[in-house]
Amino acid sequence: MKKLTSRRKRWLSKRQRAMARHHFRRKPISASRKWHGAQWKPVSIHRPSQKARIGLGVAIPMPAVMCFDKNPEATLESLDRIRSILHQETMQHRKAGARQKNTSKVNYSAFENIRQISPSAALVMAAEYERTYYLNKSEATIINLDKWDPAVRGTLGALGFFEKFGFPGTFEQPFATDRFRILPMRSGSSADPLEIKALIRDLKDLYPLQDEDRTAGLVHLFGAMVEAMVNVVRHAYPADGKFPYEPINRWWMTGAVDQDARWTTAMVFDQGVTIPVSLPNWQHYAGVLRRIASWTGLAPAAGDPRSDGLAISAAVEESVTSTGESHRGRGLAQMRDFVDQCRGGYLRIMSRFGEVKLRPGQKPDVRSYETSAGGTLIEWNVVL
Amino acid sequence: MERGALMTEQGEETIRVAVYAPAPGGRFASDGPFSGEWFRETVLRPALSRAISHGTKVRVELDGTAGYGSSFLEEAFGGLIRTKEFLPRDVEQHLLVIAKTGIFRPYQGLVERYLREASRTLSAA
Repeated sequence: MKKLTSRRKRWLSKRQRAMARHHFRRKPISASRKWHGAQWKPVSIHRPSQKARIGLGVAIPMPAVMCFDKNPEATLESLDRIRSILHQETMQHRKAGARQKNTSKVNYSAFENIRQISPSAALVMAAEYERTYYLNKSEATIINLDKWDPAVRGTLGALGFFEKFGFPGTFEQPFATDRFRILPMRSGSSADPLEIKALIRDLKDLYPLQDEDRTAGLVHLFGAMVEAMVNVVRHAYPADGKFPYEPINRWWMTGAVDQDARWTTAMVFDQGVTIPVSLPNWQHYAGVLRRIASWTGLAPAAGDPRSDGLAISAAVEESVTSTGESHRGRGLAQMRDFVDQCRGGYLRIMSRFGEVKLRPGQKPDVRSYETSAGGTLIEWNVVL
Repeated sequence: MERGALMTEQGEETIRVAVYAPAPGGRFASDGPFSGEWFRETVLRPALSRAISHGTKVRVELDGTAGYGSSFLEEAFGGLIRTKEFLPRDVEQHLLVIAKTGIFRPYQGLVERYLREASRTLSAA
């Protein structure tokens, strides 16, 4: 081998130092770091088949309160960020395929920031995780679980979040209070009324004492939930539908009971095309447009997200008042009628950018948000 | 006579929906199990045909199920007339839909409304 000259040695050493500097500079400046302006920090990474290990992570901030009533816009935004991160994960998983690296650097949603999560926000979030789990057929990754608030762990644990994604038992926590109980979420792709019947039975069992009024209320809740589930199966995932994120054509539902306040909550969520998008195909759409025009003095452009709340509200009204000329389209009416029969409470319909809250004997509370709900959430929160 | 149907001395056949569909589902069979279309085609239509040919009645009891979606009821009962399988007059004479308990009485009212609406739609067509 040819002996290196001292000049050549100096050049090689200089080049090595320069390359090292270049490498050092470039490596941490990833797109995600630039995007969030955040720093890599040590995190504990939990995967079902492995012991927790330390890695580096960039935290995507999450709000302290994730609740559609108390903090709707921030809750929708954070759910959208989770959706986006999980979508990126799916894309990376597809690119890497079998070569997928067991990375110790992650972008993650900072669940440790959350102090309170409502059952409906938890259901929407769990549905997003299930989509990724279903599409990737891979293990879920959970970050900094040891730092999560016990109330958040409790809510997600009761929902079956940890069990569903490969963490059975280990992180299951009894829920914080005995008087407020959440049922494990159920999901499916066909309108199976037996699933609803089972959920209603479980809700009934959460009350220590039974009474006739509550039994009647739960019978009527069953009918309203069947209509919501049938709507998902028939309209949420059309073959020619355009979806911002790949759908898995499922519904999710759960329920909760506050024994002290006698509140019963039940909800159905889907990641479909949403009510405002599917309305133009509805036979009562002309009536919906007429109603919006009479309320606002303007005919809304089809698909204008700013009028999503109004569109949902008009669809409910149209469903309630439609008469014998057409036998279909009464599902929304039954969902609302159930609330009208209750002693108190509301029906929330949140779809794409719009939300309508319907309370017995009151004008609908109509809103539109900056961020999409990523599907349709139907939630009954009633006193039985 | 179908499973779960009872026959009285007067030849009146009683169908308890809960026996066939403990958890009534959506409108069409393609929606999932226990749909209104399925119930109409497999239970109601044969029973009503028998009742018409024998000059008797079919009595349908709504009680005891988990509840009802309006789609199920409209398709199962309104569909008898809307699909032109039966004349409104025959349905009126040979079909009796009842709810024994207060919880299910609103559904009896809904069935009566759907039958009226289907008759009206048919006569208007």
